[in-house]
Amino acid sequence: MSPIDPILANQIVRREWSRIVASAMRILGDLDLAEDAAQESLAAAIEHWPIHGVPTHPGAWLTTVCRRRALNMLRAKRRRMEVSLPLDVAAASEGHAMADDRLTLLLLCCHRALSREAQVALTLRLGGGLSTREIARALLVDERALGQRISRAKRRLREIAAPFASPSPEEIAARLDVVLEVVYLVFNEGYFSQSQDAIRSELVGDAAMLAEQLCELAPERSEVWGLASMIHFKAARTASRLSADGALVPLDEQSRSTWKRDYITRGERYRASAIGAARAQNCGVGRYVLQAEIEAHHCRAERFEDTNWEAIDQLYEALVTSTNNPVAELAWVVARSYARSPSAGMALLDHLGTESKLAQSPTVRATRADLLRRMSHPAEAGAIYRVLSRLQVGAAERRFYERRAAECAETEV
Amino acid sequence: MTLRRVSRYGRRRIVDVVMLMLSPPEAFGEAAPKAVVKKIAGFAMKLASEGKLKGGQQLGGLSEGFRIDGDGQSGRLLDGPYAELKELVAGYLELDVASMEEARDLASQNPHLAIGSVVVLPIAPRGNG
Repeated sequence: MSPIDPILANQIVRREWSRIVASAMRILGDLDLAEDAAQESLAAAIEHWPIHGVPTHPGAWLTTVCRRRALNMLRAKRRRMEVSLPLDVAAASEGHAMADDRLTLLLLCCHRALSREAQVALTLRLGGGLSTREIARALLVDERALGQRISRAKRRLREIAAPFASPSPEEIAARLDVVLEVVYLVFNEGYFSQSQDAIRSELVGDAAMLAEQLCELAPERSEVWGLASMIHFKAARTASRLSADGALVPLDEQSRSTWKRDYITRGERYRASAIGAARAQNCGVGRYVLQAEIEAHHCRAERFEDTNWEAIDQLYEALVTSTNNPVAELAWVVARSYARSPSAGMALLDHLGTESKLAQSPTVRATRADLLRRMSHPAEAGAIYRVLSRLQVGAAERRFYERRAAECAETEV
Repeated sequence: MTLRRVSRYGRRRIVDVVMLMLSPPEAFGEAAPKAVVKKIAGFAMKLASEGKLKGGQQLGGLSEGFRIDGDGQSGRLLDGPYAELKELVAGYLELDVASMEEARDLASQNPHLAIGSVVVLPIAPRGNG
């Protein structure tokens, strides 16, 4: 019998990664050294766990090994420098607010001095515990280039002497916004990828895990719960979004019995926490809570016909007016078309089209084609679908356009 | 805002391989030295931490398993999978490697080599038409 499940054991380490790295950062104050110490704890786990089994408290086990290593590294550094460094070892040896340190680490990954790409890579690495190879696959870049990107990011933080400390309250809010955007990006790439596979569920899982981590670390922030809620509602529907032959399935045809009940339950729970947190802080709801509300309406409808489109229409209006999100604009158009009529949706699309940056993007054209189809203009709709099916899009998307084009051709006759 | 999705390296170059671990019958399944089995678990865990492991299983059940020899029609059922075989597939790992060179390096580090052989084969890419 196999002693341990290697994949499961690695997932356990991954879940604890931000905790381990943060504990080493508290002692060493340098990201590279902190990761070295963390790697040592991973190596120890690889050696010990197959023989003795996964420990009952793997996080504590790993953190203990990591801190021991970090303290050794610090002592060696002191000896080399032959000066007595002001050691915050007293604080380091106490188990003081571990949660604060994990959040501080995530906020550091999203420091303003780093590019968005660097923020994403660093967050996936230190927050998500992903390996260089996994991050490279996720971001569709070369592995070596990604490794360099991470090294440069760490070097940059060292150059500007970014402190490992809680930023000011205003800065926390701003920085947290960036972390949320990063997690949202990762989720979107997993939910609807332009790569070979339309759905990349590992990324969805990574985003869900990061979002839940943030809920643990910043529970007073409603947007954090909002993002976690939205992600779980959407992730619940993943199985129904692709047909057997790998084409995208529109919402009205998705088999709702395949939607994951446990994800929807969690989505509801996080949504409730989001609203509670917003009330406690006496602030309005932000973009992620709005999206969670929208997704909740979808998940609650037993059938497509039961969907509360009027509520969704209003929620999208609120979302679009508060954010500059072209994708939300299109979703609003679709909601309007079901809440009122396809021609009302078309009117909204035309109204938004003049301001939207994505005027000629495939998704805008596909939205227009869908409205035309529902307004009984198969010739016009079919023409657009035929053009779309020849574009450089993923296979699942193309199959959907081909199917619509064929349907329109049939209706035309 | 979106991530830049297509890198200048074009489509991702990935090789998926299966790494088969072969054992002689006397070192197969329950008879495999426990120390080696544990080392292989550690090896697999290390690969997982590097994002290289996609899956894998240890195989066993010599008494339940069976083998059918093709005879051009429905096959001739043999008792047990090991008749006339010098080696059995003791387990496999599915890996994401950058190249067959890397696959070779990893194979040479597999602790299974202490008790048997390792065969690495690329997984044929699926044509999606």
